[in-house]
Amino acid sequence: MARGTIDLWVGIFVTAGFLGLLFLAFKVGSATNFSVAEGYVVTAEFDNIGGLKTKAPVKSAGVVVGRIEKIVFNNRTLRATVSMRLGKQFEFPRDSSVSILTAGLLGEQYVGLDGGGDVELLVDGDQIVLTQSAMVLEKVIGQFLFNKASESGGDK
Amino acid sequence: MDEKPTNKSNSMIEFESVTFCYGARKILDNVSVSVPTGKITAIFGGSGTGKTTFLKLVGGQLAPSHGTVKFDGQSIGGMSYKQLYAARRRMGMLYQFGALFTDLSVFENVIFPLREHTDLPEQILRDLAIMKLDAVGLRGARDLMTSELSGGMARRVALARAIALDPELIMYDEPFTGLDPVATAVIANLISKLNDALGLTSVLVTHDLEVSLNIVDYCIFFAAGSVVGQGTPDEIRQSDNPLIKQFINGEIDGPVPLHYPASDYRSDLGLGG
Amino acid sequence: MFQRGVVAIGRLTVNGIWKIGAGTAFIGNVIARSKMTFARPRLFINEIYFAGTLSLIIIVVSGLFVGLVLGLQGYETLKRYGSAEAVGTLVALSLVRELGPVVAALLFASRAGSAMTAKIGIMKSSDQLSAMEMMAVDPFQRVITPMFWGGFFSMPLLAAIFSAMGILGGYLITVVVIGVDGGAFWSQMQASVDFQGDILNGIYKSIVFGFAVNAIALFEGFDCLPTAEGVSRAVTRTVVTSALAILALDFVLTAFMFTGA
Repeated sequence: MARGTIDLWVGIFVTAGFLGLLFLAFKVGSATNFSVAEGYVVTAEFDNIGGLKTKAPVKSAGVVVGRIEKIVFNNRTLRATVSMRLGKQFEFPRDSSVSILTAGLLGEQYVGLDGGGDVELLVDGDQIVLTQSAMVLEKVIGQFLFNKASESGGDK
Repeated sequence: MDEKPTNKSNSMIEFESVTFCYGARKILDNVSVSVPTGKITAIFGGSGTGKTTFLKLVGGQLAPSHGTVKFDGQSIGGMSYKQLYAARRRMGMLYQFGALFTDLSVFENVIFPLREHTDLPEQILRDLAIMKLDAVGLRGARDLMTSELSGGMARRVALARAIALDPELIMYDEPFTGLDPVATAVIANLISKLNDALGLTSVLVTHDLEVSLNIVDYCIFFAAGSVVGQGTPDEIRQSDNPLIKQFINGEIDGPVPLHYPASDYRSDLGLGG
Repeated sequence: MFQRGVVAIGRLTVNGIWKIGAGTAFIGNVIARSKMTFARPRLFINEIYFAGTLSLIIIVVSGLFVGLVLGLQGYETLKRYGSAEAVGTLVALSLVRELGPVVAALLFASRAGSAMTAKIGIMKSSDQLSAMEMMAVDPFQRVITPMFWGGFFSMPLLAAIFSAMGILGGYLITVVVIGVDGGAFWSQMQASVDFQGDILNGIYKSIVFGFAVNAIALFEGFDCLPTAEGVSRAVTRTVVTSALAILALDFVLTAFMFTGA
């Protein structure tokens, strides 16, 4: 085959490949989101974290503002200490509260962060005092009943 | 004639008590021969007597188990990778079925070694290819693909490729196998012509005695991994060595047995007592 | 009978160990003689054509169909739980983490890998490699190494194309055909697909698979018996060994990447 034709096809292939990578990076994934590497770490203690995992998102008003970095068991308080790294462009009052929530019925668990009213802001190393533990079962049942009720009309 | 002295200083290839084993099998057993420079030498022998191994040892593709193989006075075994490749540039090899590159055209096949080893401009490469192809009478076939060639043509293209780098030594591995009489004569004529025109040393590995004896200057006979006789074609024709006579006359049974070694036939059939 | 079984096991073990050793040496050799490939981009480009471009059609079409099926199945299942919008997440995560790299590598092994084995095998059995050597051209540098790097470079791109096509297929079937909300489809996907954890790890996987498949394909071709039957057996071995290697490596890589911290 002529050299030019090969070059053309290799060009098409390589371009398609890199377009595929870009598509994955920006359209499918969230490479445009903030980088979690930079940011500050705050901790919170929970009675029960349910199925929370490291790298789970921290959301405030539905927006991802950080990720769970570390989960350890605190021997003194017999509670779970969760460290989360928040993006440095996000600022929260010191009296903000955190709760463990579930995204949809089958979704993964994440930490919801609700802003308080304090004028002072959370800084690196702070601990959030107001926490609400995972309420997995109740939420599941609630959602289930709700969906059953809303579907029973059309589906059966 | 077995004792015919060879002129050591005029030898392109020298084997000094070379033994080659493939696993436990001895292919060559303590072989000492030399191939004279500037001549056509034929190596005869039945199938499986180590003829091809001989060529591979010269090309450094195999290493002898014992002994030394020398090319133009230099030991092949003692060469570095670079020296070996430099030595190979002075050799050409024609394979049994040509071994042409199937994904390249005839033209590209012939200039392949030039492309790899030189930076010549396209125009000169083209002219060289045409000259080499003309030497084998296939100038008109340069745009064919190798799959369109007949067996004899493929071998001639391979020959043009083998002489592309103007080698000093050219080795032919069974050049006549599977060719019709005309194609055989054409190849034989080419071998002889090229040797004289280019001042080559040629080594011909073959079992086609009739054609070869007319063009070669010197013959070496192999049997069961050893040299059993050597001499000029005339000496070979008059030889009374039973092995050579069997080979020349094509007798079915003789010193080269028809039967592969086996146990007694009758007892094999369960008839014996 | 029992003794023969033990002997067979022993032989398999010895052959297996020999293959691993010879294969490793072979690949070391290939990489050590890479200079020519990069000094002569023409060789490299031709092999990208051979391995990558020629695999493009099968990758695009299969990716699309896998995406269509995933979208359909995912939608049917998720709608029972009222979270049909999560189908984007399902399709994207399955493709990017697992199916993209794995299926693309399996297809690559059967399309490009087998062709490589056959090409090398035929060149070997028709003395082309030996002839090249006698022309003082190193067949490793001239033929095998460019093939390796061409395939190695193509594999991650093919996997990315496969995943992208699959996600587009999922989008087509669920959003365009079924009518799931397109905004929710993309936003849920973007919220749960992590660039580092999912996409990059998927690419790393395909790089490892590409290395393995190319190494296996070239080694089998180089190691085959120089006969027609030997070549056809080598091609079969390439596809079988590659498939096993891909699946086994996938398990190991997944265990490392997606569990624990």
